[in-house]
Amino acid sequence: MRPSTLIPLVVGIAMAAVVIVAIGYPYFQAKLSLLFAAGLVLVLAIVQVIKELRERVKASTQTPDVQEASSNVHAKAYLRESLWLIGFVVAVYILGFVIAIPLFGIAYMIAHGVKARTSITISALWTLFCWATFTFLLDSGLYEGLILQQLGLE
Amino acid sequence: MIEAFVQGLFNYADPLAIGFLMLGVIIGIVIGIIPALGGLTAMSLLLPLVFGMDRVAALSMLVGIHAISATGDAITSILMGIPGSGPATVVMLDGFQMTRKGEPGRALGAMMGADTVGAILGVGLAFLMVPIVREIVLTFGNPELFLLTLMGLSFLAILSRGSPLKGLMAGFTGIIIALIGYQNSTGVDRLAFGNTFLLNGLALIPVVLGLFAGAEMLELAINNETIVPKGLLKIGKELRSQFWVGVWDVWRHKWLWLRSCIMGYAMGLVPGIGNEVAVWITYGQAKQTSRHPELYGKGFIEGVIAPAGLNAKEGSSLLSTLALGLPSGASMAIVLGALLLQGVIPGPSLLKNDLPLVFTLIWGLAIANIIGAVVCYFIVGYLNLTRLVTLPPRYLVPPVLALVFIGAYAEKNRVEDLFIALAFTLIGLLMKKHGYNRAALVLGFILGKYFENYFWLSLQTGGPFFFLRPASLIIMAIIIGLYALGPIRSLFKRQQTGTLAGGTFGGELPL
Repeated sequence: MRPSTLIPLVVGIAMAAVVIVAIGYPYFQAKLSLLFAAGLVLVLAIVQVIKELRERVKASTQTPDVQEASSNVHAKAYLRESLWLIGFVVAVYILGFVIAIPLFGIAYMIAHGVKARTSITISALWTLFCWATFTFLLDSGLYEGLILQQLGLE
Repeated sequence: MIEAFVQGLFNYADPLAIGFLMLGVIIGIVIGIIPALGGLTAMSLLLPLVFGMDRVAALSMLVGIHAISATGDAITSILMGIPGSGPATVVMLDGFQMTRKGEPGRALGAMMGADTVGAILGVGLAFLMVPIVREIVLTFGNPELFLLTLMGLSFLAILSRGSPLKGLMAGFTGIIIALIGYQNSTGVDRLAFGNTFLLNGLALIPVVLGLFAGAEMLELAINNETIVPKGLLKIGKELRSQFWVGVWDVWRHKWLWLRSCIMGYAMGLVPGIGNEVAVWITYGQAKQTSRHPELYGKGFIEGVIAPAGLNAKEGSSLLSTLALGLPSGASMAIVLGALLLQGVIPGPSLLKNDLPLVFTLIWGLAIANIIGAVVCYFIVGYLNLTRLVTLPPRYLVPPVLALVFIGAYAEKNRVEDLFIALAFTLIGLLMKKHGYNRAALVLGFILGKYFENYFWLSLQTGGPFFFLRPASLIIMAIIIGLYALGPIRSLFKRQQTGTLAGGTFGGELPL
């Protein structure tokens, strides 16, 4: 199934779940807005799925192979960049901003063809800027990460 | 009163007052540029310093930060697509698209021009409003606030033009996301399933940063393209002349600008209408009344000028805070705190006994905006900040993503917000790729909770006919007028074409 059909389908299923959960709330005041909004999105999602399926049937006779191949390449790029992002957030969660920012910066830039020295310099300077701004100037502190918190070193 | 008005301006002849105002402006710009920090953080950090300082200097510094941090925020929104607050998201919709088309100078010029003159207009309006501010504020109750949020939400239909199904789906999904957490009036846990983080509801900044800044950066990386292709970007003298074209655009769209400012000013008087709500109302009315609504969101200059009403709003927010002691938002609450620290009691007596101070602070807003515009002009025009937009994604993505996630975390210092920003980055990417309107989702998210709260409060206090009040009826007439304008205009156009065709071709209908 194509993502353009899958998105309204997933939204529709989620909204059906919201409707079921909202019905169980004890007060009318608590359920009205949710039932109204989720019910409306559910209907819209069903209409969108039908619209997408109709368009797919129409297009299925004329889809060229080349287009499919290029969309596969594009999907790989989406997956690759999304994984970089997820990796960064997980690194921040475990190691904290001060370690994760240079680590991610250096790894990302080197993997994308930047010279090691340049990537280390940019990442180090940027980390220093973020750390100095938030810790010294704003006194708000950056997240220290799970490991440092567990070790009590934050 | 005229004497107090003039004295308010002349108070800035004192080097101490103007010096601290300038300090506030510079802090405001720097802080505003960093996502999620904004003026509120800076003001709260500097609040303890206010104690013991000269009162005009201290209050001017806070006013300077408050006045200009939104401009700093708008710079990063326009240049990099990183909105650090709800209002900046609206400026970004068209501003960032203009940058991508190679017109960052024009977008910045229009934004700063509209903001600065809007703030000056705010001073003029404040002068006129002082005698009647109390009466105006007291006419607004929950029914009017409900109708104003309804007006904001009705713009979902306008935002969704072109792809109504997907737009409405996004908008109403935004409302559902806004309803996650405790309901204030009943205490029911809705869609949080007992999770303590979700019980407080989702914060705006992680959602907005993920949906827009995160998704835009990821898309640049996927397509391996720069924000602006190198040949398209103007720098140096050409950029500065582009800036003045933007300022001139404000004059060309003076009626739109004036309408936005007056709407913004009126909303600023009412405690309870946040900047997030007001900015969507000014943007929505601009799109609804525009001759080219289809160009909004695609890098249209009107979309950058319309949110300028917010700066006029600051003047009236400050006036209602000083005159009634009712802060219209968190920043104004800090100003209120600073006044109390200085031994000044806000309220009607302040207008009677210390009117020059009231005008000094209102003038401070305008002067801060003028200074801020000059400083920003030099930062953008001479420091070549815009060159950042030609950096390849391999250099740009890591620092910007770091800033996005620090911004998401810094708003409430909750680590869970990192995952919210991540989820919304991926959602934003999918929405953009498949033509779902992200602005509609944000609009629903911002207004959803206000809408529900004010609806139940109005119903409880006024019964089912809560809207039968003069101010409510006026707002309803404005809403109906806004939506009737389009059909009336097209009917009028059709009639005109028919008359023209009749005159030219002897009554034959055009083919």
